[in-house]
Amino acid sequence: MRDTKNIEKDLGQKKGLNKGLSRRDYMKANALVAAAAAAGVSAPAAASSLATSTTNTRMKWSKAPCRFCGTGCSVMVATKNERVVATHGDILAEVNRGLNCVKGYFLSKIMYGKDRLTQPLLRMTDGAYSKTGEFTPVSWDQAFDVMAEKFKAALKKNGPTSVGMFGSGQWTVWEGYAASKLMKAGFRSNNIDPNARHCMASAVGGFMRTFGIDEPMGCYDDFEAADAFVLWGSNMAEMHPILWTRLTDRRLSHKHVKVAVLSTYKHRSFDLADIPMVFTPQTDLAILNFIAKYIIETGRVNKDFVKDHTNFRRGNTDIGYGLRPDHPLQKKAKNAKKAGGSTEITFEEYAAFVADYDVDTVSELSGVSKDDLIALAELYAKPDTRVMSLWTMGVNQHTRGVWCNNLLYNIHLLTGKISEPGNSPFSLTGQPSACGTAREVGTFSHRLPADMVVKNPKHRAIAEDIWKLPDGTIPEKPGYHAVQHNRMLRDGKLNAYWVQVNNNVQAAANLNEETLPGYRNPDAFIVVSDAYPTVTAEAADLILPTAMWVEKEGAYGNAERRTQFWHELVPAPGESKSDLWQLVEFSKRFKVEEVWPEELLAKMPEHRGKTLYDILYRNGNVDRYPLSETHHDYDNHESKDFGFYIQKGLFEEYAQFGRGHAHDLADFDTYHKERGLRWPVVDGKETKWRFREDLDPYVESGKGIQFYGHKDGRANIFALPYEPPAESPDAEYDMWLCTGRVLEHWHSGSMTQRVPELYKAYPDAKVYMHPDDADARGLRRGSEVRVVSRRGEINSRVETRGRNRPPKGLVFVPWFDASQLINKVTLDATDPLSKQTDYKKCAVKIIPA
Amino acid sequence: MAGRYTEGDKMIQKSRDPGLTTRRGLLTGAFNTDTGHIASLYVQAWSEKNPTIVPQLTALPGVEVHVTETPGKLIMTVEANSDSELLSTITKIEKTDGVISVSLVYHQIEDDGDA
Repeated sequence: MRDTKNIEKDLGQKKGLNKGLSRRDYMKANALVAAAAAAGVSAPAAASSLATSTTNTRMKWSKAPCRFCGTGCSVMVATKNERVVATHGDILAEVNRGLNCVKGYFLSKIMYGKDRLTQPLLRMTDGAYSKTGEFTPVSWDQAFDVMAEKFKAALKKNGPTSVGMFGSGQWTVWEGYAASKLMKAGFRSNNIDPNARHCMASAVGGFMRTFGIDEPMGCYDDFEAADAFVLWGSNMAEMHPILWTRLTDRRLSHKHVKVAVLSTYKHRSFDLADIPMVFTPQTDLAILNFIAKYIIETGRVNKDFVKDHTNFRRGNTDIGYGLRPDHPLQKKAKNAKKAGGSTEITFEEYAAFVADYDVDTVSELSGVSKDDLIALAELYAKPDTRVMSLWTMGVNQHTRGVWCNNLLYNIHLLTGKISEPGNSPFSLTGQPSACGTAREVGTFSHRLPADMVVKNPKHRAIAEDIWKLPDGTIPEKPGYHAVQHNRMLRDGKLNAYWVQVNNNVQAAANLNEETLPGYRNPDAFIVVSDAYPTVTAEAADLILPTAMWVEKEGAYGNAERRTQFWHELVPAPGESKSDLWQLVEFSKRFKVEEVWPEELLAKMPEHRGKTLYDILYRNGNVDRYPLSETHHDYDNHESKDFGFYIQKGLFEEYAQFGRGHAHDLADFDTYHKERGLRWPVVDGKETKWRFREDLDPYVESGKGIQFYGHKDGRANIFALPYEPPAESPDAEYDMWLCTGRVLEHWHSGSMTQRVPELYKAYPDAKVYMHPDDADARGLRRGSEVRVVSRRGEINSRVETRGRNRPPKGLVFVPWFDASQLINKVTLDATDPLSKQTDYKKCAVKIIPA
Repeated sequence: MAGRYTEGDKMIQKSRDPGLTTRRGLLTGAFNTDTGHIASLYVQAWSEKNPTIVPQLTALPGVEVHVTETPGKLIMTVEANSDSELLSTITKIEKTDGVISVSLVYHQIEDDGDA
């Protein structure tokens, strides 16, 4: 109440609310009311009506999820004269409650960079395509002619495994779905993988291995229910700022709440840490096993929970580092080919396994003090402390990323702290639809929608049935994963390749030795669809200009299983077309006889003479909804072009995979009205916490807890050891290199670097290092240096006093800056289980430039 | 090693040069210089440090702190003459000891009339 009075005082007395008000006073009142509302401080009636009276009615406001990270904030988007002119946080959205981070705040500007691509560009010499030619504007027809010729030539010469696609967790749900159909059913190639492989693959692996079903059991409501938060390598203050405000609010308004932050260097999230811990890279594995040992040793295992709902398994060890098979580390690894194997063990055997991880050993290995380790373990062990674990790339971009995910679930399962408000192991995501598209649609080389996999004949049959395709259409062998794509391009095995909505030349590790030689291999034809001339577009042979974000109707799914829709709000510039339009239009170029063998076609002779467009997208499902069902207030370019409501048709066909199978989505039209819903949506109701009776409709009556992803309803607790990283500092390359993001820029910076305010706020990447390490090399803040590894080097400048404060022996370099491509330096070692690259650890030296 | 794939390196180099992929030249384009930017901020901070935080923030040009009583929450407005001045003020607030997070909630430019 005092807050309200204060605002009234400010607005009424000091600013003369009741007298003649200046325009500036109105503006300030507006501003103040908005901030008070977002902070949960009640706003006075007088100020509220003021805000309404100045609401600008010339603009049309519509909702859309943010284009950037996986938090899934909803924003209100204002359009005027076919342009986005403003955005603000959506006060009706449960996720962000009217707040935006600085990137989200400048969302209205991401589409208006001056170098926006507006027409297809083909490398040409003397009027014809040539790999070494100059980019030349061409029509869509010319572009697709050359592209179709290259895809057909590759299919004819080397078969379906010679074509591939690299997609994205930024695809809309239906774009990912349409792409998956085109590749897996149309071209019959499983060589489709999303950039989410670099981001979420270890999280998926962890979920599937422990629970048999993907994605978090909890949701963001856990932020307001937890008594303790543990950040495992995550820097939420910069990477998930809106969720960080919710966590911060809980901590600052409840004295008993504790925050533990673990990282390999100090960062902004440490400002809130009650237990700050800097650990030696890779030793998170040991710390997690120590916590398990501590829980057992202090008698705080939730015995009933463990007995009724878990199994114990010992995973295979010495599994290698996902490098090329001829790499010495791969040859040496005993179980490189059986990385995923495990055997059943007893609780006693598990207890004996973790017994090695005593506090002295782990403290010495990790560099974390014994007191801090015990304080951390207590948060998990104390039965009445509701604890939320949070992690993202620190855990996932890890050569033992799946293990690390498994070990995190272990400590929640041993204590039964799971699937209820505040007790929540929570895997955060980095992309707006890493969950909704990459994972749920299953755009990975081994997956199909709703957690199904191409290896399983029953799963393939389900997909072929829904898609109305002959038995045997989808190949059973998983395709090349993301890292393998670049290796296979280089080796000449992938010959026609399409990249959409991502910047993998900048993003993939080991640029010099794998990515560029792959893209520039004369045996490969590379197509890149993008809105801007990224370094990936520059490395392509054909660039397709792409409609982005609210230039098309879309759907994203965030980290808490929330599916959100938006309408097309503005037209795309020039000849830009959405990824969906590009995929579907391209499919018209292929007669089925050109891509399918006769024996497959003979099983469904009615398909003879048809195009892939007819078979995949005019199948009676996708073209089921007429144009008249599109919203009369909004345009829909793709639907108009194809003559039916294509987004709805694709979504409703896709939703058949999950409905009735614990992945239920609501009907299409509902999502245009709601601020998103968390699946499974059963009888119109979303599900906040899964696997617990009364909270999740899929748990059978009387079971209490049911981990129904596994047939026996149990989750697995895994015995998995600490194993060293692929590369560690030595005498020559004497520093750890960790890469990551900064608040102002999102991923490779292709959007945020084009927003002048964000660019100016953080223009160039820097090398964050300890002042003593700088001194020892004769360097100081601002010195120009070379960051050198065995694979490549970049030039950058030293920062010793910034927001990130590494310990001695480690440097941090953000990867958003296209003029400092840090992935020339990184190593393409991956988790052998998830195939996700470890961007957080390799060895470098820092030399004065 | 870095020089092994000169074609690709050149290509990436090109993305820094004027032409199709001018980046920096475009990105540093003219800033909005309209007068009369007003923004409101929701700032989260350690309340026990308010006695030192609030005077520091109030001393910043254009900053008014309106609400301080709710634990952990400060509501403030910022008046600035340009986008860049506004951002620089926000950065100073972020760097103030005891401040945990700064959220820009509302931003309006007086001349333009659009929020």
